[in-house]
Amino acid sequence: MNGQRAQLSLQDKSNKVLNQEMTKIRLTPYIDQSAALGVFIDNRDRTKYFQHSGVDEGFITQYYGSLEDGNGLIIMINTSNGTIIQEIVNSIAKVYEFKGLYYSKQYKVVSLSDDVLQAYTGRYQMGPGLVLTILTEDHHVFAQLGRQKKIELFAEGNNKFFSKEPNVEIEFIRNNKGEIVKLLVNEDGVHEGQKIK
Amino acid sequence: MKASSLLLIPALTVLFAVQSCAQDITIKEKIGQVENGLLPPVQTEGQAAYNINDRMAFYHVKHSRCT
Repeated sequence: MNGQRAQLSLQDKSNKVLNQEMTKIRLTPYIDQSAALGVFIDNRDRTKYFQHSGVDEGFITQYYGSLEDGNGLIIMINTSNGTIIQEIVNSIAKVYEFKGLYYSKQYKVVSLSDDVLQAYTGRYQMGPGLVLTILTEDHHVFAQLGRQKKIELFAEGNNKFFSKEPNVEIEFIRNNKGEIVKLLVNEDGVHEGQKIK
Repeated sequence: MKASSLLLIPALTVLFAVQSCAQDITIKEKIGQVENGLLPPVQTEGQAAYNINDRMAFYHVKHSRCT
């Protein structure tokens, strides 16, 4: 049952696949507040969408269909990197004024001197055997967890940094002497790391 | 059928053709706006929108389809 047919059925304009009553049942969450029959219901800015994503080797897809009007979109991409999906969703949502689908987090980047940046560098113990290294290269700051790929950090103020992809926020905490003693990593919850070197 | 009614048919045909053409332009304009309006979920102040071909090259995407 495609998305458009579900929207028409929900408005009682088509009963070719399911009638309106069955479509309402299908689009009603029953496991939790999101999971319905074969689709997820997202409440975005007081607009409800049924949506689902799909992933296979070298292929990613995402669709949204509004429960309240005929708005909807389908994106299919030959890639294994889904980062571009939200960029396209943002563009479509902005041009066609789809409520709630445009998502962005805005930061204001500030410039910090090399001396100031140097103070944040070091190794931070995030857990047993797990060290987060903060380093600088050519006036840029990077974070590297264990042997993972390093990600660039941008300063949004003294002691506060963020990364774009993935979106991680890091706050450095100083003691009474002004020395950095730990950091707080905000990514799916806040994780604390004591400075060890 | 009155002569005025007969005249109305081609007039309406022209009107619909003009409307259809205008809709095509609007749709093309919107497609262009979408293609040139990609914005990442994490943005910095003054962030410029991206072109879809540039982003596909950046992410090594071979093909995409939006409907």
